[in-house]
Amino acid sequence: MNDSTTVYQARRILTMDAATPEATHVAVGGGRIVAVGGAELAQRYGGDNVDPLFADMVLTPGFVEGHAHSMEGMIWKLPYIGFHARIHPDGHQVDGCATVAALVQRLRELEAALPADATLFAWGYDPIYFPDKPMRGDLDAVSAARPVVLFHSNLHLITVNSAALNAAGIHRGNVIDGVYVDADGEPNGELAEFAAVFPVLRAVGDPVFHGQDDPEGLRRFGRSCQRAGITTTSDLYNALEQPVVDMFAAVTAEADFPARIVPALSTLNLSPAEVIARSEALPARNHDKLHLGAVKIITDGSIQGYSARVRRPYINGVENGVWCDAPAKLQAMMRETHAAGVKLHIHVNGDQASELTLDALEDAIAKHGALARGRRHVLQHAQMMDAAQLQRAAGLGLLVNLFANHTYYWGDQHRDATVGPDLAPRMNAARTALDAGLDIAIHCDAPVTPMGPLFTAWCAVNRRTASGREHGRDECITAAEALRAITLGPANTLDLDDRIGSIAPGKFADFTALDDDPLRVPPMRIRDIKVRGTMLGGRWQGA
Amino acid sequence: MKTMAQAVQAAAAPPPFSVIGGFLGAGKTTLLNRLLAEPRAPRCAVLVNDFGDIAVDAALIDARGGETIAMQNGCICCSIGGDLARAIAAALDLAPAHIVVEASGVAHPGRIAAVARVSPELRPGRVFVLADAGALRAQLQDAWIADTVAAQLRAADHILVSKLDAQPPREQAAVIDQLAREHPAAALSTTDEVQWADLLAAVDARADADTAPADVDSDSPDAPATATAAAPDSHSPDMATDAAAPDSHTTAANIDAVPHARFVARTLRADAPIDLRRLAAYLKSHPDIYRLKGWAIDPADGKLKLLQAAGPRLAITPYPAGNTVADADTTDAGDGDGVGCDGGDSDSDGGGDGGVGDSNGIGDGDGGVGVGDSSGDGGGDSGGVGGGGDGVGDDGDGDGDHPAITTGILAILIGNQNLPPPAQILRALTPD
Repeated sequence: MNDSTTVYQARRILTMDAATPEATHVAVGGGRIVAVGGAELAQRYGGDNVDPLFADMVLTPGFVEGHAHSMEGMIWKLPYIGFHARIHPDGHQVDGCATVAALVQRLRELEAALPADATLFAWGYDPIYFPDKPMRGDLDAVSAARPVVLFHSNLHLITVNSAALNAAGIHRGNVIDGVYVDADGEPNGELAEFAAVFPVLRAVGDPVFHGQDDPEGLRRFGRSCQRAGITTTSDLYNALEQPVVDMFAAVTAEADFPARIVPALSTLNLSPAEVIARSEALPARNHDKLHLGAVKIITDGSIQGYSARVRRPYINGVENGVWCDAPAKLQAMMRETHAAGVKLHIHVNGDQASELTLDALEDAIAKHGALARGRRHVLQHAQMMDAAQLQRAAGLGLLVNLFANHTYYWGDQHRDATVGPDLAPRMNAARTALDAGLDIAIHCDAPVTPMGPLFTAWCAVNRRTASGREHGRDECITAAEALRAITLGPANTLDLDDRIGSIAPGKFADFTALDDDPLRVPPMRIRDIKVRGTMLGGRWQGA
Repeated sequence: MKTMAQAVQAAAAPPPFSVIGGFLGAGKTTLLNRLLAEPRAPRCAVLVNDFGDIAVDAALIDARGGETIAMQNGCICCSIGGDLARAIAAALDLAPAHIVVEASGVAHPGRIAAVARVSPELRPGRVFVLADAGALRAQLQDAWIADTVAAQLRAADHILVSKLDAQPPREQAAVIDQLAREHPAAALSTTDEVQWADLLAAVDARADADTAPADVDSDSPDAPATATAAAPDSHSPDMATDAAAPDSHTTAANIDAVPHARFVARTLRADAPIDLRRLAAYLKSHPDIYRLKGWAIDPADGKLKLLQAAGPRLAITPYPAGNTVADADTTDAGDGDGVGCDGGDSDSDGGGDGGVGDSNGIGDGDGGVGVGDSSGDGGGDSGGVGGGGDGVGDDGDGDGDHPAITTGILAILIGNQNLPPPAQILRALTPD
């Protein structure tokens, strides 16, 4: 072998490759894995030399985040004020604001640094963590004159102060759905949905912090991935207009861009024919760190937003959720794009949405056969799929990517407020999915929840809610299964399992270096394991 | 920073903001195309989901850009492009006389329209919701979409029924009856009966009324506009449903201020027998009624008649033999003359008994009823527009989901603000 091959020794290498499940040495050359095994590799490829870089670390395949959004990088244009501490893409930890007092204090500091006419925007607020929600009055304590607008962590709601309400013309005399009020009937500052949010952003300006055309935002996204140990991530809903494609192609090609990205084309406002044409044209821009061509269809909303399409109404008795498009059109999009060989990622949160999708794909696959080249459609989130639906998915050769982080972040709310105690513990049924023969992935949906595949694995292994409650214990999976579900499983969903997802000869030299072994620590400690850094195509970067 | 209030003070009166909703296939695009081609349209900003669906005569287009099409009638058609906030902001920059937004087929139009009750830059207009007469009753039984369609209709100030004339007569009556009973507070008319000038006049009247301080309390969307006590399943002989005439919030003064505000839609219903000759005479003496479409049992022969009037002349058309109400109850049972939902996958051929295939030639206001063969019960002779046999048609279980006209009259009226209340009309028609 030529002298560009390096043999690394690690404390342990968890390969996710059945032929050599564990190893201690890996030989890397030309950005790819040459061999994996024991000390003999040093002699065979290293001229008896071993690079000790990983000597005290555990190596896994580079983590693969099968469902995230580049908005995770863009969103840091605004200050983060969420409940949980969160790692800034630049590496420093932003402490969580765990009390109203801490939140007000943080906002005061931010406010003091703003120019006179500016609105104070921040993101990451989640009222479910505050028994006494920070509302208009608390934000008035930040500023009586300057509008203050907090974007919730779900990005759909805002909480504002009196100055913002006044600027928008919202008052107790014109309360509409989406304008929440206090016991006295006064708007309390929390606003949901278009009709209530529009007047505020119209009056105080829209910070447009979630565009996908900002190269620095994309670089931040790459850095956030890298710090979480992710070497390949999806960007699972992108309009991919030409300037965005050009920017993505350029930025991801930068030598120090630290992740491979798999954007999926949003079908919003496109006809099936347009989707097919764009899906066929986009891969011309592909390179080792950019993989275009897949398509994302969103069928329904979110469970915590009561907008996922559910067969059984939410326990508040109101509705079955919201389709993103007419069912017949959604199904036609699936059938027609499948017929043309387009790979689909399909957002299905509620069980009625997964039913609709299974019906359409069953029909399409019966008529046209499976996709070529071993590609398989992926049901994304798939949070309420039951055993029968998972069996159907397996029978159709589909894959599922489960939203494991929901168990922690909203498990309590799902039990108490959304789908109720009968169904909530059954959500994100990883055990049932594996038993049905499905290859699964688990994900974070950043920026909806923070990126951190080890945390996601922890959620799937332990199924604890934020309050510490066990949540569907029988759907827990093993640490080894969870590790696969953050490496080879999602690699499969992204059709890159021939290149990434395991440590095997010929694949990209993409590793995640950990300070401990996720298969050997107590399961409750998996989330505490530190990411020491990543290797991407043979290029090392410390976290 | 300039506040909204300051910005608005500097501008003219905010434009009324109206929304057109309705499920996929209900005919929103057709109606919007009619608006863009309407010669009497004022300066409307028409916000649509898909430019590709806009099909108007090129001669009517003034200029076409990437995001807007300027019409010669003064309308501007703007693409929403997935960002309604941006589209509305752009429309406001044009200082239009009206803003009309097309809600997506699955959107809740009331939730969009609500913005005008908050934003100082907008005035509340009206929520128009289209109902596809051929698909509606199937949609309302489809677990995937029933709640969405019902929620859309509940949000309506004015329900516009499309494709009514393409349905068999019994289905026409059933659809209108169901809508009138379930949405007594909404005005009800067919898309064919109204002109955009009328609709926009109604918007103006409503917006003016809502701007008047005295009327603020009457604007509750939950409050039926009239005290009809229209319990949905009640069929007391003298009951009439006054379908929320759009002028019910307005005063004569502000209607007169608007040239085209002479527009009222009402629903007339009674289970007591109606003397149809009296109805004809009534129409002749009441020019305030512009159009009438309805169904009645003729006391003279006990048979179902189709009633159509454009102006003072009432056409009373008998249904063909074999299609009387008497046998409607039997032939309808399980006939599954269902209507395909969404127009997709309507390849089922089971169960159809020709009930839908007979629809050619009804309507056009001339009373010509070209009803074809509708007697092929049990023949399974194709028929159905789709869906067939999956419980879409009346299942004959008596649960009231197919309210046939068994007696009395059901009619929708279009007229001006002097249109008498339905109860008054009915009193004039009922034999002493």
